[in-house]
Amino acid sequence: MIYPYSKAYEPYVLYSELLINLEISVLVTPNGSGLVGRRISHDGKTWEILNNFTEALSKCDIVWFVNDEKFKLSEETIKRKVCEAVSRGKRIIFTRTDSLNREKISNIIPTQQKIELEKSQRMEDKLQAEYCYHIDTPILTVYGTEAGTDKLAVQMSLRREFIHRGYRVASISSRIDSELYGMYAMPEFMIGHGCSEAEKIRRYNHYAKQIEITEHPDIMIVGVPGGTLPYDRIDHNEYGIVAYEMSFAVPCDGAVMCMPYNPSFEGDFSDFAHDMELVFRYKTICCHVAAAMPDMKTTMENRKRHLVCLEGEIIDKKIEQYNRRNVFNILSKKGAERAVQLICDVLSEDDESSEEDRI
Amino acid sequence: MMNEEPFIHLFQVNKRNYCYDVNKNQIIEIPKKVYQYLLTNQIPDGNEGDEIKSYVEKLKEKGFLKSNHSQVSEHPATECYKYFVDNDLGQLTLQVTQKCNLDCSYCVYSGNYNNRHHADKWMTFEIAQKAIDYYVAHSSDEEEVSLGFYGGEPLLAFDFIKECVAYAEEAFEGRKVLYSFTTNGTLLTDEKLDFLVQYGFTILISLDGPEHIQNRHRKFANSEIGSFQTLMRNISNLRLKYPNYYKSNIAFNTVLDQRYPLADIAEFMLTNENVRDSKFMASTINDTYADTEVKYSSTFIEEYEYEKFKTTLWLVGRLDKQQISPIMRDSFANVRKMAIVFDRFNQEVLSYKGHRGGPCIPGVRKLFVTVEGKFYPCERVSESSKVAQIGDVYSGINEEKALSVLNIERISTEKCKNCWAYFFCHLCVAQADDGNKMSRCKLCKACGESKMNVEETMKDYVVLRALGYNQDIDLDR
Repeated sequence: MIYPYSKAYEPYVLYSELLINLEISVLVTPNGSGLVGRRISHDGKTWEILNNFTEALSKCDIVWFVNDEKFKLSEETIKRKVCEAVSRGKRIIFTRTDSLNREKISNIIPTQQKIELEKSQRMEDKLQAEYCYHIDTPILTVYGTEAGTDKLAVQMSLRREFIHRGYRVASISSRIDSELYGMYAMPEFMIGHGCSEAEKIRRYNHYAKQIEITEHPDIMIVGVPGGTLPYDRIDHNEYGIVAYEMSFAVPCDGAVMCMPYNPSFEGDFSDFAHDMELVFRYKTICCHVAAAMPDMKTTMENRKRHLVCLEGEIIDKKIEQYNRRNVFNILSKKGAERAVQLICDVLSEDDESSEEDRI
Repeated sequence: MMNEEPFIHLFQVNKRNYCYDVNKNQIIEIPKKVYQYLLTNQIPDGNEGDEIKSYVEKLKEKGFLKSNHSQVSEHPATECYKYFVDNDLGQLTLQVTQKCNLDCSYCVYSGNYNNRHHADKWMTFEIAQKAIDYYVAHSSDEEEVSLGFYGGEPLLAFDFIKECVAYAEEAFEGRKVLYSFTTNGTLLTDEKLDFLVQYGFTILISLDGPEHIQNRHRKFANSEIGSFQTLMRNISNLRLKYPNYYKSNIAFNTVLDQRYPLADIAEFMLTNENVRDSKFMASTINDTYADTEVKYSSTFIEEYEYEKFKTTLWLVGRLDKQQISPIMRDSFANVRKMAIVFDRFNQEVLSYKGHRGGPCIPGVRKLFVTVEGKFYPCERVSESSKVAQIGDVYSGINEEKALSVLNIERISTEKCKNCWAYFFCHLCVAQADDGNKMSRCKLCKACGESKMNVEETMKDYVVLRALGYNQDIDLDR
């Protein structure tokens, strides 16, 4: 069971086949989320979003407590639910990083009922060089023009498609709980204040290199958290600082841009891609249009970008109208297939030309 | 001669010359001779003519003076309206009763307006439940939810409000609900206050000024007794009992009767210890749906301009806040909004498809629910209107009707797409609604005033900017 379910966890449901030794059986959300009774369907499976935690416990063996997104449940409520699940003999995955009492609540869970995520931690700080290593594996960077543009879902969709084609894929996402999907989480030092900016670049490079050494992947998909370039002085997207550091740590061979749907967009993303190449050296291969649209009036009034969720169908229709070879809805099966084919073609071409250069 | 007419608007302030470029959505100051040329399209011979031509060419190189207009009239939210409605409802207002314990002559329910009349009508709990359930199900993309109560006088239905709050707390489990209402303040007793403070209600209290002004219009129903004494006693009690809550959650709404002087009101609000530090929303009597037009007195205009001048000096740091009447402190809100748009909404050219400013996305930004459960875009539109009703609690939003309210420009496409005030127009269904249909004729009557307001705001904006005004610092106040 995923609790408290919110739209931020939709990718985890859509790509649940990537889960390692787990299956999502039930989604439970608080009444106020506005999602109760809605259904999520993917690849012939359907999940209905429920609100009765106690009843839903009987439908699962493990309860996965995740971060809130739009709503804020009290610590007391979470604690009560954890105790209830523990008393009913359920195993617990507790990945709530936004919980103030994370440690306290986590301590309620008996060790034998607790499932720990530590795959990423095992990769940290094993290499000692004072410089960045060269990474031989092709790096595919997934970045967004802003937060809320499906970056995690795109990473998962691409991962699934590459695996389906027989590639060994290593992925680094910005969410710790993506470890359950065989991915690595962005290490905490990247957003903490414990080390200098230069040190972050070096450590992140070592982290990626260690993954390469351990997994021998054919491709590495790296997700950039949040947005990249500032929209303006108010919507600054944290000035793209993490993206900038990551671009030095793991220089990309190709990139996928994720952007929200905009009625005035006609399929040409080259201007923005050009800016991204200048700043981050991203070679943008294709663009994913997310099923989300800015609400400009609210954005202006609240001085904060506000996106409204759409449905994939409308994006699919738009993409047909754009009629471009490099604009997709990567969350659709067809979109993922076409995107991966294009990525493979471009990366292979680059590889061939660099071989020729060497000769 | 210019080949194509640039899409611009020219205006002058304090002997300075300005050009508002609609395509770029920017105001630029230009030399007088360029202004004259753009105004008349006549170019003098000789050096002066060459200088003008050169200046104009430079403007064009920077992307100004384009002649583009939107070609297709369609609000950007049109094609995705369904999703906005499904996920993004920002605020719900319940009209809990149409009854009021006051009988204010300018109130929209007074009988002097054709959109509403006071009546002994009350919302049932079933309707409130359905409306709240609708809100829960249609606000999943909103970070906060906001539930308002409206009347008549909502505090006449205080027990009903308590029931609604209890229901909303359960229905919105896991989310913060912001509660609010507008009241005449005469029923704000201790028992009610405890509850309102507990749930952090934001309250907008109607106060028109000193006793003789408040009592001129705001009298208890079926009597000649004014409400001033009762209201001020309640306000004072509230402030003493809950000083912090009072400071953060109480604001005042002042209706300025433009037929009478303003100075007494400004002075009273500035000196009364209960209200002098409070936030005010002041507006003149609204005659949108009124039977008769309300005319401005020359004294009002003179005193208003003086107060506005003082406020200008405050905004640019030349007077202290304490010298400005609280009813004026927000009087430049339109300038602030315009400044934010200029600051953030940069473009090179108008899009092929577009819609002028004005309409909110109906049923998305807010939703007003009448005692009978009918849906309207907000509380300002006529409740008897057939065009403005966009649905009800039983069947939800009627998408077709809502889209016609959203795309109001379509009743006057040619006029609107060629209008320089395209971005800043504020006309919506309320100004076009003749009860049965959206009337182009009615809308066009309001158009002149709207354009004048936009130009006045632009003038205020350039003056304030020239004096060092900064909208971010203004917001920080």
